[in-house]
Amino acid sequence: MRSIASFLGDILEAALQSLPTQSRAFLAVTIAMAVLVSLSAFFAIYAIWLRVRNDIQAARWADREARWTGLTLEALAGERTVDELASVVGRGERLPFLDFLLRYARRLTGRERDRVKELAVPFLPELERLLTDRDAYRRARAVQTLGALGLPHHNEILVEAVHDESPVVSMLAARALAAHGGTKYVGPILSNLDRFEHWGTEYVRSLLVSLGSEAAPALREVMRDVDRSIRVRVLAADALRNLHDLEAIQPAAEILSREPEPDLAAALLRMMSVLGGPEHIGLIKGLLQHDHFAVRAQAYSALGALGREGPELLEAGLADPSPWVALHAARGMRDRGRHDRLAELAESEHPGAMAAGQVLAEE
Amino acid sequence: MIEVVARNLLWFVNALVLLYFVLLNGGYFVTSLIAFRALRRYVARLKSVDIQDLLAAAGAPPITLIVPAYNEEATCVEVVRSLLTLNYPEYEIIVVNDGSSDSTAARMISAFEMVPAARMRIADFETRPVHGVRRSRWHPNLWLIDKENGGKPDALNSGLAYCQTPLFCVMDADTILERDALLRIARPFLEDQRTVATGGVVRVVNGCAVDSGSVVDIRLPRSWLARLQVLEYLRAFLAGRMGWHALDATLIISGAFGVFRRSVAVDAGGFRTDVVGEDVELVVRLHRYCREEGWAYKISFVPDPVAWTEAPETLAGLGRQRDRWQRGLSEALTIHRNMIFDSTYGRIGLVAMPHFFILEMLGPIIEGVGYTAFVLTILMGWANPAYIFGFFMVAIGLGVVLSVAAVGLEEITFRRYPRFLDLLRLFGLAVVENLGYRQLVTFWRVRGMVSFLRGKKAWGTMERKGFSSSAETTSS
Repeated sequence: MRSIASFLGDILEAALQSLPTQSRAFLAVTIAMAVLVSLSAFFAIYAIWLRVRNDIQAARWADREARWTGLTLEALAGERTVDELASVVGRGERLPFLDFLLRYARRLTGRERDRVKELAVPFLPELERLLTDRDAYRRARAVQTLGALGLPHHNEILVEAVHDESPVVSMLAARALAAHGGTKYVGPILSNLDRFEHWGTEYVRSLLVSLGSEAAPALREVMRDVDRSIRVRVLAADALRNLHDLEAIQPAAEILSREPEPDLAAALLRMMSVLGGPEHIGLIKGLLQHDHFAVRAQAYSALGALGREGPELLEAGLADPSPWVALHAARGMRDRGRHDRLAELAESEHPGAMAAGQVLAEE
Repeated sequence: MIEVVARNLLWFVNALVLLYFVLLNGGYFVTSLIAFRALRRYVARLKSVDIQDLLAAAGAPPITLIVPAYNEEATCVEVVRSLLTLNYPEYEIIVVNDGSSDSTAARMISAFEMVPAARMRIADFETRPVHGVRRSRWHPNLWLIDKENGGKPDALNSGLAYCQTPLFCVMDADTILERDALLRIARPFLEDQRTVATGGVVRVVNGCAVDSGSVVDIRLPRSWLARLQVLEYLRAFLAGRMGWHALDATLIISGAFGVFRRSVAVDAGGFRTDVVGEDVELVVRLHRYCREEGWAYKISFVPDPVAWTEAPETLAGLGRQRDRWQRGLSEALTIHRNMIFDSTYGRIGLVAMPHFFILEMLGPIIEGVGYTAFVLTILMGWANPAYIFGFFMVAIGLGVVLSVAAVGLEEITFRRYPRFLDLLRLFGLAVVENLGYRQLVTFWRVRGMVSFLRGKKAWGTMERKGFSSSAETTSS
């Protein structure tokens, strides 16, 4: 093989040396041009081939879906057994069929959803194999499908997937476990909480809330833990608020009294708005003059929600230099039923007139 | 003696220009290859984390759409109607009438029954005076801010000042968003809270059928000029921006469709009002601001949310647009020139800024000089066939490869042009655009550089035809 290459190389070298310099340059440019033309032709032919292939696949998929829809509806109505359905799905069609069932599972609830899960059972081993795939997104897809269609014994596989090196796989596994009645899985999920730190706030918060009230003691520990990042503690505090965990109020008040970082203080005040009582009003009032506008804004909201203090405090908030604080104070007044006073302020020259007007118009 | 000097000088220029073409097109080729991989991974990610699951779990952060409108009477009502049908849980629309001399405001007021309403101004930007704020009687999430003319950045700042949601979306008043475009463009904010800005894809609406504010039939425009722009947009977004995104060095988010985190944009100072490329400038400044503050942040490009925009169909209109784009880019890069080759700014300082400064900002001048030198070399009889052939290869051949590759990327991923004939036409355009059109665009960009150096700030007028209805397109 090497001798052939060397022979061809010698011929090329001899040919090039026999040409004058200009012709050699011309030849080099011609070869480069030929490469470019070939590349263009390759891309174009590849794209056309893709178009033809995709069109054929789309038509095939439409036929398949029509066939599967009929079969699945019959199986859901009990007119066809799981084995009968499994026998008509080809070996190469198993993963697409699971994708198809996943769409049904998302739309259905209760017994019908359980029936869809029964229909998926013969095909689940395909997913288990995918969980060790090198491609993180394939693993993620397998975890997502197992989360929706898997059986109880698959939860152990999902626990392993929570520790997957890919954050997407890890998060999807955690969500699936939390959705399956997660108390048992609070440990593995919370031990990975720091890895979920960069996901959207609401996404992580809803994961924690879906763990249920039995996760509250662990979340309280997270909220208290000064070695955790502020963001993780904020997430825990917000989850505890959503879980209506009354036992979180005392540690929250203790943290607030130590003047925590503004983001954490704001989260704890949000909790106070929902779970606090008259005994916390003193603490909240102390934060109405906080340097950070977000803390002041949440303090006014909490004051409005707890509704024990005189209205003049809230009205003072309307004159705050931060428009956010003014809006929160105005909403606090509205929550306390002070519509008439808000209307008066809206018509006046008061610095909070615009905030009052907007809040009244929001109703 | 003079002839020898002239000849050597011309050959030096020719060599420099050939090097420029190789670097530019080679760079594009590399970003296309990176984009190819990134697009495939993106499609895989879409399948692994379902957007509906994501929304069901996380909700969606409320967004304010800021729509600056200056003399947009032809399209504003239809565009707003389409915006009102977007598939997104919670959003507001603020149309900012920037002192239009036509009936933009009157049309809005009458079409949506807009009445005076109180709304708090949140950010403290200096803008031209606002005459009034109105809210639709029937659509409580639709607002109109009527203000004195101050230009697009001033209008955007006015909208931003009244924005009360965590995210805001900038778009043009002649742009139609696909129904789930907001869901898709907001996705990075749901998946990563460090995201401060995302940009979507802009496509050419000319030739497509629009019904009730939605694009219902996608086809290539009848105008050749618009068709060539379809190809340009494909290359710019799918190959260029996707490639830069994969390198984590997104420097451009189109002002026609981008979403920003309100708090960061406000803290960074909002839109600069003394530039015409306020969108590019803001993105560069956000990079700078976040880096200097030491924040972990992300600025992303998302390839599947689509905004459809009307492309100019006259040479004069297109020339003005490209002149403005070049000025905008030059302004942004010049303002932040000290970021170039500064490792403090990571890949932005070391890769993206030098690329855009040398190859995109100065590129048209180098290209213009190159074409002139090429013609001179031939006229003087100093060109040999290898040189002529080589010039065509790097100036045109590489361009064809890149354009064909961009059409391939479209076919691999989103396949928006369903007609087979349109696909073939796009391949034909990939060749045609390099034989005259590209050189014309270079001329307009050189003109833009001259305007920039002369300090020109005007936007120039834009003609709006309005959108063609499905009935019109079908019958044509």
